[in-house]
Amino acid sequence: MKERRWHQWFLTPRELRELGVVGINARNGRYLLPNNPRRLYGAVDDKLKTKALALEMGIPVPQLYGEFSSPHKLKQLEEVLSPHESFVVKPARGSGGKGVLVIQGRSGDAYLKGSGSSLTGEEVRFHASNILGGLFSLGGVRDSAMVEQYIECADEVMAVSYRGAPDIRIVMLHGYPVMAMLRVATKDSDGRANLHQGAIGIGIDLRTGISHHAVCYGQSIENHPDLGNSLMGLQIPDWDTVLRLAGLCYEMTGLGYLGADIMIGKGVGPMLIEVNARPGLAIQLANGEGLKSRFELVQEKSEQMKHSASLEERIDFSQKKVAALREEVRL
Amino acid sequence: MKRKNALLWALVIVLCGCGIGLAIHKSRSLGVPFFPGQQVTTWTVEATVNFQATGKAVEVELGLPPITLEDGAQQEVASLGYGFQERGSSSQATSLRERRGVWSARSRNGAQKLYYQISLREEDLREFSNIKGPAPKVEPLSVGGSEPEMFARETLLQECRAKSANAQTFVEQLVDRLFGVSPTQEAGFLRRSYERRLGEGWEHVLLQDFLQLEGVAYRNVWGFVLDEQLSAQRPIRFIEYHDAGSWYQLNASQAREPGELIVWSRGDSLLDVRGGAESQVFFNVAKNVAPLEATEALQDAPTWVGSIAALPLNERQVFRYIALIPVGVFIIVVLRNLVGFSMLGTFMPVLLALSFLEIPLIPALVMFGLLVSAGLAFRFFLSRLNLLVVPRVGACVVVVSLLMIVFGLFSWRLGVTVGLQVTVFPMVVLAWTIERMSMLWDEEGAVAALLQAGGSLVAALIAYLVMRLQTVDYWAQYFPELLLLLLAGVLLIGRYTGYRLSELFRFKNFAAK
Repeated sequence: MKERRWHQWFLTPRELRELGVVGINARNGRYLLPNNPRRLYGAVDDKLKTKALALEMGIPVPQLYGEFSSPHKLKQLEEVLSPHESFVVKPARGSGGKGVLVIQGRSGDAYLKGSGSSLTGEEVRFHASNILGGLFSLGGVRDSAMVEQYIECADEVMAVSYRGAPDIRIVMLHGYPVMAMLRVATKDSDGRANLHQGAIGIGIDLRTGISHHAVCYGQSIENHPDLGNSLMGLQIPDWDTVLRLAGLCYEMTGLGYLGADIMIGKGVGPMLIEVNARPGLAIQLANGEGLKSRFELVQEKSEQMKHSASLEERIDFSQKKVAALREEVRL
Repeated sequence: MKRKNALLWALVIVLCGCGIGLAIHKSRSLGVPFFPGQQVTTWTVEATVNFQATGKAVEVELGLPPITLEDGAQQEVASLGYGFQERGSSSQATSLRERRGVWSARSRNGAQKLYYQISLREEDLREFSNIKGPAPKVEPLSVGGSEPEMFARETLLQECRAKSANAQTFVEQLVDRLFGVSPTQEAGFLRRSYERRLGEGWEHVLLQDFLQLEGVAYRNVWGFVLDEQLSAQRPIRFIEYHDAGSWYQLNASQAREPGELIVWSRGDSLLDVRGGAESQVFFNVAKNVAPLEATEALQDAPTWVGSIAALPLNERQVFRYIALIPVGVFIIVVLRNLVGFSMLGTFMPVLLALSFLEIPLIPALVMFGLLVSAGLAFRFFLSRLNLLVVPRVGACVVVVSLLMIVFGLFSWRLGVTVGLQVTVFPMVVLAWTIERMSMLWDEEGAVAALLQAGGSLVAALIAYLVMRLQTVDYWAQYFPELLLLLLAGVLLIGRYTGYRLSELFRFKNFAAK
């Protein structure tokens, strides 16, 4: 695109259209509302349900150690925790990583967090009771707390994250992977992988699983601001499995438009963490590419196949045709 | 998708057609001008009579303003099943035109409501107050009361008479002695005695008795305050006395709303009800923005062309806001879906904007800021206690209400009466605003919380500025069918899939590639 004086401030709608950027109104009106009927949301908004469904489908997920739906059940919390050295306590209906407590080890009676600080058993229970009270759920409604296996991330991806587990977000339309990014934590994001809190979004090539572009606070970057190492050319391990898991989420939930969040476990391989029925648009920034032409290509293909393509066919199409759009954009 | 689009556009066209068609009809055939032009201010004053009928024949007599209907004023009487006629009398002695309206019905039961409405130019309204006339002849009369009362009156009368030159100075002396800061022994006794004997309104009788004894010509007057914001005013009673060719107002009871006092009628009684009990009369006033002829045409028009102007005045004020709310909502929809504002709560800014409409803007902003920050401070304290959500918001509501009371008390003490209007803020909305803000504060930091609160405030300000426009207010009152156009606009925005203004900035770095 031609360099313009106003580009340091904004782009015109025409320019955004040429770049194929999808705005929030278009996402809602064209992709989200027509493809995601409300009745399907229940299965993904409650992570306990998602987990149960995923197990049925044979999708690997972190093992569930226990769930607590009422305060008096919390008395058994210590009992549930005692056999495990590390674990994660999180709200079943939380969003954006809110209320997730990661315990990576113990020292005596104390529980150790990733940051190195320690908590007493009483404090862990208190965190769980806050979850039950709805402190972290949307609109503050009552919630259940779940305790699950702590997944240690594979070294390849952990190397680019500053204290905090990186995860892979894959946006899917009609079961076709459309775009992927890796989200890694920074000092600013405080261990969380939310882009608007300063985490880094790294665009991943769908075909190869190699990173090619990265943004932090909307600015393109090459190296991690805190760690200094390069974010380019990073190979996601087990990339084909990652895509397969994401693809299965479509069969599992029936959502036409979804975002699959996947972690790469050390020694255990890719695991589905959660499914998002309203994935955002920051993935476009991370990849430096608009979603529009990819959506349109997939929509066309899916209609042509009468929405009955097999998992393998869909992934194959995404890796060959959808991923190739990036090269076209480059040219 | 195609069919949905066709349906949407059909709906939009029908809505716009209906709205514009009705508006044109109103404007063309009823003569309601489409814009609030420069014109003479007119007022509509409405007297409402309430009483409980006792099952017998009912006759209600109400004093009416001393006007002749030839000078462009219009009156309207609404009362189902009652006959209405006017009785006029011209008393030579007091040079007064007295008009009284009489409603009558054969037999009635239960709660009754009668309306009398008059619309006229502002200067005609003021004219009620200055009626000049020749000095009527009044002979000093003796008045009733107990012996000690007579004695006390005589003492006071002597004092006032000695220290005054004419009726005006006499009255000044009298009022000062009777109602001044340090009443004399006689005055104190008279006040207590009259109050015990007569109850409410004793001040008037006391003054009347003195005027009578002194032989000053006076008359009873009933009036109201010319202020749109006051609803259901009780009639204000006062006295006019005559001195050297002019009439002067004498208002004994100080307990009335501030504002310009307008005379409604003169005479010993304002309301007489036979065949009913617990009778009451109250006044509502409203400024008209459309010419009188148009207002009348609207009141006579069929319901489907109706406008708020055809409603009783008391309800008019409420419905005016109801017609303005969609305007605010439309602004919010535009700001959210086209501009990309982030706000706390979906339509909270509209409610805020409505509050702004009722009080001056700067005090409103200051009060809002103070309430929210005080509430936030308390909420942070609450969050240490780790309460469940509903009790937490409940506690917030209690605290907000306490804060409002304290705020009102403080500002009253400091003599800043605008602080009393803090009540216009909807409490529950405030509590939720505080709750949402503090959650955001915890989750995404102070910047995000302040940004969203700021966004809501700016949105509320924009909505307020639009709702305050005279033209918008006028259309909402006289052309409510234009809301159909707003509806069409909202529907269209609901299907808008283009970029939001904020996205032009959000994705600006795409160009760098």
